Amino acid sequence: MDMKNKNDFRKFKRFARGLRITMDVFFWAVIVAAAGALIGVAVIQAMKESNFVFPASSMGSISLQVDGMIKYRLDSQVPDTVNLKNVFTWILFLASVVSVLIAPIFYQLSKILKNVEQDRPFDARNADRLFVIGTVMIIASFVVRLAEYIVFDMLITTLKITNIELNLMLDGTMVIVGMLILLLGGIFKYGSYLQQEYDETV
Amino acid sequence: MAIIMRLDRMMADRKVSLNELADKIGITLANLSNLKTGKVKAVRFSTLNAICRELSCQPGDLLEYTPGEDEDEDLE
Repeated sequence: MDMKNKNDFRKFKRFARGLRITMDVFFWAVIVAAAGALIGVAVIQAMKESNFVFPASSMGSISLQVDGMIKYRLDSQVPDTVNLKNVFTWILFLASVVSVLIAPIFYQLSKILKNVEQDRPFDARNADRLFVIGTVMIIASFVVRLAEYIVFDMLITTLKITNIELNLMLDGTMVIVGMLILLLGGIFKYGSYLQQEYDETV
Repeated sequence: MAIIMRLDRMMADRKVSLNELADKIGITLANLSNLKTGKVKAVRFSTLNAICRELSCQPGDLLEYTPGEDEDEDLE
């Protein structure tokens, strides 16, 4: 490897180290958030219903937004008081489920970056790690949307909003990204085979 | 593998140790040991060149082909 390539790779390894630390922080943040959300669910269940009854006026303006471009105000449809206990419970529970689902992504990315730091980007396990990430992304594309659907449905029912229909659809972007990562896993698998051939050549 | 490395024989003939040869040809002791014991899959010409230079021998002195060994690989 000539000097320029060596310097480029050294810079890349430093970048990988910074990114690995970031992934570690995100991983633990997500785990703590999931644990906190589950504790929150337990606390909410133990509290009285009356703690979650709010007058509609205290909640400010309630509106429905589409990509931040269209805003439809719903104030006139909301009842005078609303009980949000179930809504908070489900939001926290689903937040913990989604957090637990995406935590492996950060964990696997951290391990991949560690291998890059140790000059083993084509370690055989990296291909398996990419397969895990890709699979989780595809599953998450459905689970995250399902979680959002459940929360919105609960909000609509609690706030007694009419004339709104919900559609459950896959997040196409996440599915495509997941499939691309699976493809990348296949490429890394071939790369690890080439690495092994190289390592076994004296 | 039908190709057998006779490096140990040449090293004994030339009275060269593994450490010495590894230093002279610029590969690690571990790799040279793997080469000697036939645990490698392939040898670069540059490595073969360096070994022949240091041991004053021909590639044919280091490599031997035994056809019988290939049958075991076909069965695998």
